Amino acid sequence: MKSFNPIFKETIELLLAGKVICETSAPESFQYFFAGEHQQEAENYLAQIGRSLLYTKDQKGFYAAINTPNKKDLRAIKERFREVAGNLEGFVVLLRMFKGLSPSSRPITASETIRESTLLDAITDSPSLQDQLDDVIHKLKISQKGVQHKTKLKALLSYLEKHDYLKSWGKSGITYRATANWSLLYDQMEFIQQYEAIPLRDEQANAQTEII
Amino acid sequence: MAKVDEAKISANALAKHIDLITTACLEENGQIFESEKNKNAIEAIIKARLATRIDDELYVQLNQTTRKFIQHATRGYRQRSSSGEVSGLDTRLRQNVESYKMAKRNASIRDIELFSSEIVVTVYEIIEVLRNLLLHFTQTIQNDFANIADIDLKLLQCKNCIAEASVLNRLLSTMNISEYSSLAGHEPFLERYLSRILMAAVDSCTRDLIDSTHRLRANLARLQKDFDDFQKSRLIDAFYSHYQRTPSFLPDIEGIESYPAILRLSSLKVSNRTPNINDYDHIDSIIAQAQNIRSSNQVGDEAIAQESVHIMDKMDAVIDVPTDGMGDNLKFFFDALPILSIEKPYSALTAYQALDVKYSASIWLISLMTFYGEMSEEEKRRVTPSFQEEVDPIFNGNTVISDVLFRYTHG
Repeated sequence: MKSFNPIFKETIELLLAGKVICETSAPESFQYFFAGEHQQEAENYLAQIGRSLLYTKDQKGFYAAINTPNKKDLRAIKERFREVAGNLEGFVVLLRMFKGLSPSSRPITASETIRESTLLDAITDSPSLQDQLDDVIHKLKISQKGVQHKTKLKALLSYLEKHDYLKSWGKSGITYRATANWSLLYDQMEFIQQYEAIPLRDEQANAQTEII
Repeated sequence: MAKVDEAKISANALAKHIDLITTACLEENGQIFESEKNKNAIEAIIKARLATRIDDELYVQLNQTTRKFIQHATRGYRQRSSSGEVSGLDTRLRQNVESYKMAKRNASIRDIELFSSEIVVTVYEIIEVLRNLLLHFTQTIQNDFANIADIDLKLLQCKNCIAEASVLNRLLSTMNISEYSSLAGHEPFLERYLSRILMAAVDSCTRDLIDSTHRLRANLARLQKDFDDFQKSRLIDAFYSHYQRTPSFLPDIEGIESYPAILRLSSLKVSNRTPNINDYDHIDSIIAQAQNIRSSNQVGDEAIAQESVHIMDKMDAVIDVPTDGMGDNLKFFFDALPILSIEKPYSALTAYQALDVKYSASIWLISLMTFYGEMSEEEKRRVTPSFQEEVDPIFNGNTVISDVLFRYTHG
């Protein structure tokens, strides 16, 4: 009989709670999974309770999915999707804002380091980013009392930390690391884009050319 | 149409004289020597700006662009033929070594000279072919696929290059030092050319190839990251444009037949977590839970309580209270309200404690208000709720409802 394994327990509990495990969100669980046959063990365990272990498309995080949802599961899935759908516009604006904040205009990805001071400097210097920050705060319904950019940015980062998109990194409290929740968000956006037939840039250009 | 016509002239000349051009590129260093036979072809090639006539020379020189194009187009062939060439040269080298050894045994000075010179030439030929093969990878890395615009094509080319490098690596691994050392034996001349010069070149090529492969793999990782970022950016922009065009857009998957795995996230704990009434983010969950409780207890409304507790009302009457469900508790509360609120409005929280409600006080209050909201207009005229409010310390400008007092108006 196998002995009690606290990391295995913690990892499984996180997975069952719908968390995305990555090297930032749960480093111990993440490392544990890549050592030996632990991943297979977890897959076997999850299979017995009707779950599968899945990776995000960029392979930066993994999560458990329900194989055959029952009515209760479907309610939870729909509720979760409504939450994603309801916040999607806010996140799209936020993703654009992060792109604008990146020196090479790259979209935010898991394991990326976010420094509050760097973001604040960029936002303070750019009225466009300030507008985007206001828009994000409004669209994600983030409660905050101040009017200063710093207060707003802090509220945003706290929101993202609370929703597992960022994790406070180091002891300073002003540096964060992005989790693989972003990877899952991109995967979900890709699904919505295909399901709702939202045209991508090339497709838009082609459509315009055809019209012309 | 002039530009198209011009391009057609070049393309036609290239296609028509491709044999001559390819041979010149691959075998004559881009030079085409003039003869009566190829005079017309040379004129056509020069007219199409594929080559230039060099003054006082007996040949015309193919332009760099033409040579680059042919080299690019024949890369696969050159790779295969170079590998084959090395293999063929290696065989020739072994045969010459055997012949050299035999000549040595027979003390045939002329044959020794002949085969020693053959060995030297073959060794240097092998080295040249290997270096040419390596040059291809070095150039590929240096230009970083700059001539390819599409990032996905760059990715493909990089992957192909890595595959070609593995083939070359396998070829180099067959040329190992122990084999050449045993072939050379203790013969000083053979030791010099096989064990030292050739093996030094093979070692150097292997090191360069490994270095090139590492750089190619680093390129591949970078290209892959660029490609992923490009796709994510495109996705973000697509959604942004979509929201600009359709501000009311809300993704809807009600009609979906089967949910993809990315939406089927396990939620054992998430669905059971207790929402925090102080957190605006939980408002949807609180409302959903309240509605679920109401709907799940509508059937249970008819059920009869299995246990009872006693509570004392203001008239000191003892009333049996059902406790098995929220629906029963809500129904009982409003049924008892005419008695409970005779003297003064009755506190929802007092009832909450008396009824030992299984859910949180916040849910109880919301459920009471939901129940009240669903009453007929006639009933609503008799029941009057009033809120006990406090200023919300968290959400500026909001108030927190700490209790609801219900009054029943008789008559």
